[in-house]
Amino acid sequence: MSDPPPPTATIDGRVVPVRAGATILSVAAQHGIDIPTLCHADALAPEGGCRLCLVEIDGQRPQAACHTPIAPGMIVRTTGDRLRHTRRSLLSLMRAALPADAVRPDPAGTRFERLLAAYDVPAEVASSAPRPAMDESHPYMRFDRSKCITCRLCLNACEQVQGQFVYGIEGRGGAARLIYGPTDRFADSACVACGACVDVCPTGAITDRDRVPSGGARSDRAVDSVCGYCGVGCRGHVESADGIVLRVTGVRDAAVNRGHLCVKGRYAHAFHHSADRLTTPLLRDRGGGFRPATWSEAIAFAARRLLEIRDRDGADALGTMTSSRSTNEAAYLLQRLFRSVIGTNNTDCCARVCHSSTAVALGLVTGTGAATASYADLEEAGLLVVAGANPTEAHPVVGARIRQAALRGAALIVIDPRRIELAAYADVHLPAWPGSNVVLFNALAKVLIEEGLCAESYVAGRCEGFDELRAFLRRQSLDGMATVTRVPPDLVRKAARIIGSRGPGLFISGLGLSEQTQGVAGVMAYCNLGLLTGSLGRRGAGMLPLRGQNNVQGNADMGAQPYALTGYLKPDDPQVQARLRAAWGAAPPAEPGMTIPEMYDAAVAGRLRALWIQGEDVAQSDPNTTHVLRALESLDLLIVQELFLTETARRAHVVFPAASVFEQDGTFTNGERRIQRVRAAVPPPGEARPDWEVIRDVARAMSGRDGRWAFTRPSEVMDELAQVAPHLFGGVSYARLGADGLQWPCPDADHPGTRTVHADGFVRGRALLMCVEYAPPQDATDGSHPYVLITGRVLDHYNVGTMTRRTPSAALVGQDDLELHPEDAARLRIHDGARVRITSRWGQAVAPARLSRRMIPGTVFLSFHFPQTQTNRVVGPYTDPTSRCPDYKVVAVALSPAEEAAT
Amino acid sequence: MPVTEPVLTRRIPTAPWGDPRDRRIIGYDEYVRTGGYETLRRALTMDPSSLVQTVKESELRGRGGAGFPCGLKWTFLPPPDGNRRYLAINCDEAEPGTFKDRLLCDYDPHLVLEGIAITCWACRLDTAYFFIRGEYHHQAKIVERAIREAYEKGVFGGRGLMQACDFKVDCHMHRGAGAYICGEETGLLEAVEGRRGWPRLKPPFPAVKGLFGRPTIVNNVETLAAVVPIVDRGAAWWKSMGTASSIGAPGSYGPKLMGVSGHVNRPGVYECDLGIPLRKLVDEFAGGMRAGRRFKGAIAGGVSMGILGPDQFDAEMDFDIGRRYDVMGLGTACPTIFDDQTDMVAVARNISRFFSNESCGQCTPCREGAQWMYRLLCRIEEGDATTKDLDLLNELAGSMGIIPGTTICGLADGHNWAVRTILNKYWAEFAGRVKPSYHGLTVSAGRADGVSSARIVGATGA
Repeated sequence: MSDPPPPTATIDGRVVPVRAGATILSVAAQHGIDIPTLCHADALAPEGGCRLCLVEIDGQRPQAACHTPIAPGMIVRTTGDRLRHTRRSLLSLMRAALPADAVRPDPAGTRFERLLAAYDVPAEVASSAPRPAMDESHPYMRFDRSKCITCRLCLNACEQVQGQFVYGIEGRGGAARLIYGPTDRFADSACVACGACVDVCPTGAITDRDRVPSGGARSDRAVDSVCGYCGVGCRGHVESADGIVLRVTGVRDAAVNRGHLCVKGRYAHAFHHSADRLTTPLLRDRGGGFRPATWSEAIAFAARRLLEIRDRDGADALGTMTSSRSTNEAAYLLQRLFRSVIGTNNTDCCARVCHSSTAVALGLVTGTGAATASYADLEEAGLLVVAGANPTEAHPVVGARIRQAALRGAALIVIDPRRIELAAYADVHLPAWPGSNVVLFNALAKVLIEEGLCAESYVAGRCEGFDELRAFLRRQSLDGMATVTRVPPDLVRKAARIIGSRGPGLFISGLGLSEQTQGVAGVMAYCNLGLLTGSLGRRGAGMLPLRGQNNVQGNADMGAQPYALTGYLKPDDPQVQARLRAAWGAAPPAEPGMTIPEMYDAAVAGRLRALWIQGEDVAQSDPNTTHVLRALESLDLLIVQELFLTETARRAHVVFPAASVFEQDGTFTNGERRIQRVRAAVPPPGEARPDWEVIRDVARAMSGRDGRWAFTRPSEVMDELAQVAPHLFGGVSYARLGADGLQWPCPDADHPGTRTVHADGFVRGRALLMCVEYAPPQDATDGSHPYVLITGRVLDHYNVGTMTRRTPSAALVGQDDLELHPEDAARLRIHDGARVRITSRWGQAVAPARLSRRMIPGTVFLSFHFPQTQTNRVVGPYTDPTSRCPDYKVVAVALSPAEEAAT
Repeated sequence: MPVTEPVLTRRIPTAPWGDPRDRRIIGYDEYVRTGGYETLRRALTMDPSSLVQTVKESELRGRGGAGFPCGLKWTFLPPPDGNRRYLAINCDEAEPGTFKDRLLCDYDPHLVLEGIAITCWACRLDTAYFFIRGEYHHQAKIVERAIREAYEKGVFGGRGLMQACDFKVDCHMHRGAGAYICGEETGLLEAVEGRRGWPRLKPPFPAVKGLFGRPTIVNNVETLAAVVPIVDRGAAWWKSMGTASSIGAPGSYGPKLMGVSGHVNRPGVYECDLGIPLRKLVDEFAGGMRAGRRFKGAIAGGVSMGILGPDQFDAEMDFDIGRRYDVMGLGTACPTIFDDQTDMVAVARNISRFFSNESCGQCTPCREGAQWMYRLLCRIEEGDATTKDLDLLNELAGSMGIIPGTTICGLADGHNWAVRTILNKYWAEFAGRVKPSYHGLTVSAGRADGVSSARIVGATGA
């Protein structure tokens, strides 16, 4: 018996296989048959309006190939005199509706212009349509209405990719025109400048303003690399000319972002050629200022001072903070330098001040402190829970996909004190009072357990601690819990029933869980929900913490943690010690080192004498700024690797000018554990150098040209990493990374990488259901500090703004605003836009008020992107007792009109 | 067979059985007193699938314009899966010259509501959206009041009548905002969903994926009203009126509301049997042509169907009319009659203006071509055009619509057929208004007998 032959159809005389549901257009394209279109894009639903893709089908009237399914036996012709005539008429009609000089047939022009040329549409046209003015109100995008044929590709991309619904059509028939909000100004629209519309516009009506105008310089170099902003890790195609990045576009088939980018990744690249980039090493001179130095001078100085201090005060008097902005190779080498050449575990990174609680909690519960799921699961999940994260602003590409999932019908539960954008798409929004995460998650777990909504066999087979958890939760009442969370019990029940009935689900979280004094506890209580619904280790489900920075995952993986070595190896394991002694020449101490907050305390106390900070402006980003500055100023040696002379770099003894994300080779690891290649698009300015090279040179200077530091390219660093931590990276090499990289664990050269961790059992055996007791926030509100301040990011800027403030994004958002509820504003007699003084027990800041019903009365929100605001002076010293992650999310403050306070 | 008694107009006095001056709104009580909702009561005791079968056997063809067999449409529904299924009632009676559904809404709304309830029971639909055109302010109020009454009396909302069979139907009114395109069934669905009323790509068809992505039946008001007497008196009785097809197509059975307008003495809606000759409709029902005037032509049934020429006054008003008399079809069976003083160029220009105003803007040929046609017709009417412009007009019109494949919905076909049939059936009138083209004679003679060449198959179509 042989299978019946697969059904076929014929297109232009070629026999093609018929796939169920495929359109004539898609099948033709697969076989290299080009059918002209002006309103079609592969990733978008067919629009069918331009009618250019008409084809002839035997026995039928002409049909549009873009939305007509191919059927067995169909005989299709895509060319011919009649079709050519029809298409030419259609193109002529579109052309005639535009002003006479708006477009011209051009074989090298836009998609529309190329078709005009291919179908011999005359260049001259009698059109009396007036030419409207160009809209150049937006810093990144412009709209030329005279070129718009209302094909609606922009509208569809905006709705189906970004989910922003910016565009509409106004008027009908010949009066139909594209609109984007109440005015003809992009700047006034709801546009978030993701650029998806620009990529699909076939006529050049919507264009990027970061492009060199047509007729200007064309790019002379293009590389595929990875975005240097958040931890999503989008792949971008970077085009440059004369050492300047011209434009970045999403890599169409990238596994992470599928061609999509956000305003930062796509447009905010001008910082790399900012006039104030550091271009030469700087040494502190006797007068307290800086003088330019040669590299050999600066490296010799750093090496000598590091050795002197180690010999004088002991290895533990030195410490380092590797950079989540830099490459894996740089982070690996810097921690190796401190652990082997100097001999201390005082290595930490900024994950400490963001997702350390998440990593610790996930490690305790499952055995691995990283996301169990992948972004690909966003499309497969039937239930998404988003807690303490604002992805549409902080992780826009993932945020857009969550929104699309909800629009497609996936259940969405949003847990956040603010009514964030995603709340509008959610089945239930639970506005938990800041600091009450543990109680809310316990309440949800209580309903799941008591209403029999748990995945019983999963819990019985893969978890431990269920009976204890049930008994623990039985002792608490939903009403009692509601007094803490301030969320009505009925709403909690409703959410729990959705979670229970629609799960397994994808449990997404952000810093709203991690950056709390109960950070670890909150994430563990959140993991309970994942385990009770049987979500961890399943496709389309699991825990998916959204990492804040491009390589914060990689930094922790590389060993930038005081209590874990490269690949999370234990420092006190004798086997590990032996392996590292062989690879590094010296094993690190068995005792854990200091975390970042502990290093500040030690510096102020005089126990820490030298600090090497790589690419981080801790003087702005870390909490309790006054304390941080005192710590930095107490040091005998501060080494800083930076792009700019930041507040931190100003306090350094030696500053190494660093290469930016566009100027170096290496790898980043994104929040789904995916190691991807970063490639230099342009050379670094002046004498700036990639971080890893500088670390290597300092190490060689310190260790007498040790052969173990003879790396000549970053791939050699990766090869050593594979040997040092084979359980996670044994199969990783530059040769294997390919376009979309590899997701660790990838233990050997044949391993495809891991999309879903714990699929075949938890790393620690059984996952732990935890009984987590609530502890109130330490920075409690009282009569003198009655409001709760939450800090966080906005869409257009990134962290302390070192990069984004040096781009046209500053024209989109030029200041930090204090969001507060109109009721509070009325009580305080603060009007919208008025300057408000925010006073905590630790410091104060001033920012303009923005009245917003996104807030719960009694809570306020402030971003931390602009140095003049000094948000982090307000944030206090409290940290999670286990992870040492600071509490940026619950700060008791008093508010007052600033003018009044000033007098 | 002719209609011997009023069926849909049983409670609406209409010539020849009644005097329109006696018309009044029939409320719930009067409707019930005159036998109303009895059919629903009986239908609820019957197996829904047997009701679908009855309607199928009656060969009821849709009264909205396309004449699609109603029972067949109902069978396209997938089996119920426990989730929502919708009925969308098309009362967007926006075709110029068509006002037959208005009569039912004006005077006997409960007949339509009873038809809705029976259809929902027969097709297992739980929610009905009554989409009424924005301009029908008065009718919307009447129907809305009737819906409220029906809720109070337990027709809708799952109480009363429906309670016994554990079936709940909800009925909501949705008012249009003045766009012709919302009468296109998928444009209507978009509008009900709160979006711009742009027609959808098909497939999928509404029966499979309609309102809110769920199975949906879209029926015209008159079609739903007709369901009541069919279920009441049976398919055979229904088929005793009207006529079989003379060309082997599905038949044209039952009575039909025909709205006559134009140059007649007594314009209005009349209930006649399908197949009645137009001359008889005008003379016997509509009081004949205005004094001393001769018949020059008639729009068959809504402007989009095209025009019946001076020699087609005897055309039978049934669903075969399109194939036999070179028009697109019967449409709504609401003819507009023109007498011998009518300027057919002005008629074409006026119709073209309507279509270029009502084009939704989705498809290129309709959006752009419609304006070109209107501008050309203005130029012809003003005497500024040449013979070449007639060529261009003919080609432009012929290139627009579903039939040549260049549009998503049939709006452009209506424009195409209206203009081309007028152009071809009154060629001399147009030719007399244009100057000869200096680019050689390209049109002229061959088109003078253009009525037969007006068997339009589309300029590029097969």
